[in-house]
Amino acid sequence: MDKRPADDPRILEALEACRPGSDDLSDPAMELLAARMAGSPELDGLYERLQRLDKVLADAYQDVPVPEGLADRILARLRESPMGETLGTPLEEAPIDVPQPAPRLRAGGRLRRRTWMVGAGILGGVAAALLIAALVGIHPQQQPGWEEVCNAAIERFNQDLLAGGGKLAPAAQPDYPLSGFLSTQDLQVRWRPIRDFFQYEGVAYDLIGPGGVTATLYVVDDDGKISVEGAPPTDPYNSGDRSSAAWRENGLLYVLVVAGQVKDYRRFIAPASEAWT
Amino acid sequence: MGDDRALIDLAQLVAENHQAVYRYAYRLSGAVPDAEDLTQQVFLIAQQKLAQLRSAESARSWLFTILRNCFIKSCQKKRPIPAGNLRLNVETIPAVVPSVEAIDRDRLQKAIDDLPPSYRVVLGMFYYEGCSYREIAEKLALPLGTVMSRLARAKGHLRCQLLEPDRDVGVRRRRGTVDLRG
Repeated sequence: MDKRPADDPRILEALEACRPGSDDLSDPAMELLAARMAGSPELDGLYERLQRLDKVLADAYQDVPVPEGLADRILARLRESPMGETLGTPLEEAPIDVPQPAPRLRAGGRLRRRTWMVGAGILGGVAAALLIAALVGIHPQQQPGWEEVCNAAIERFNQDLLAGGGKLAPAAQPDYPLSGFLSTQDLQVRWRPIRDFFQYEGVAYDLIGPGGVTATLYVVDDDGKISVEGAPPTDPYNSGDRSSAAWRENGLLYVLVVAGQVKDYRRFIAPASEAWT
Repeated sequence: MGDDRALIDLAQLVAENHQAVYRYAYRLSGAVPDAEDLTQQVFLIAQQKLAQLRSAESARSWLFTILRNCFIKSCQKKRPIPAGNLRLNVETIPAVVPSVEAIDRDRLQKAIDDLPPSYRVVLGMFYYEGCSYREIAEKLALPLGTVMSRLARAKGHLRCQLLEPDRDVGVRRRRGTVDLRG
């Protein structure tokens, strides 16, 4: 009438509660299970198999494909929420000579006029710059490298997406022209001034490319201090759902952030440009 | 930590956690639109309650807590099998453990969908969050015995659906799969 350990519900529940690869078995509440296992090779074997199986099932459980553009949709919805208004300044519609005007975010995002929020936007920008500086550890004497620039630009892009990017300037800014490496086919562009990109002033061009992929091109005059040279590369820096690349043109620093993967990034770069040599 | 709190930023929170939240939401809800709705809800609530987040390190766990609450609240009863029908079942632990590639993801999801929501949450906390049964009990304010019972029965049901030899097996029959009978 000996009851097999594997028939005892208390033992089975304890067995099932041990996480794979953990020391749960040493928990005082598991003393009974540990004691029974010591005297039962059958139970010990069961425990080992269940541990391995749970590891497999945990991995399978976590294997879920994530829909493309989810982060953008979340950020757009956050921006539309009542709380979103307090987080930054949505883009204003403004007349732009060149390039062609286009909405900053997805169609359906309401554009509001709230001039009083400009101040909040500027404060937000300063806070973002401090955050970026803190994240990449920039010091006045220590300029960031290519990857740091791209990473910081991605952070900035995410901030801008949530805040709506700030107020648009009423006219094009010839001091910071669009890049000659950009593919202009089916490209919609708006621009706005920025003054805190790695502490340098310049322009952010908000772009919508083929297929509605969004991007921002930051153009600043850093006096050549940031160590970025050459043309945009074929393979961008990638972080999450963002692709980024930095290059230099006519002495200006250009940093492109695309809401997407490599293929999306390549849609924004002219294939015949020097970048692909 | 005051410094940590200063660094917590909503856009960053989304960028760093939306995939993990979505995956969890999908396993809990069992459908892409529901999972996306849940994920959106989670970040909307996070936006409202960002001040409650004590440190950047605990952000993901905090978001998961919001997700579980959203899921439980929004749960439309999708014909879960009665909890009373769930049983302890170690007979379904195969002699040879299959590879992760051999697990049929759709069947896995169907098996999860069968479970009552309270069992799904416990299972998710175990497999996805890596919580111990004690942590699950603390976070859900449940007795330890209740957690162990739900966990064991939920896992038994999963194995039964995925691995039981007499079923139209939930293990893909390709290289790397196994003799389930041992």
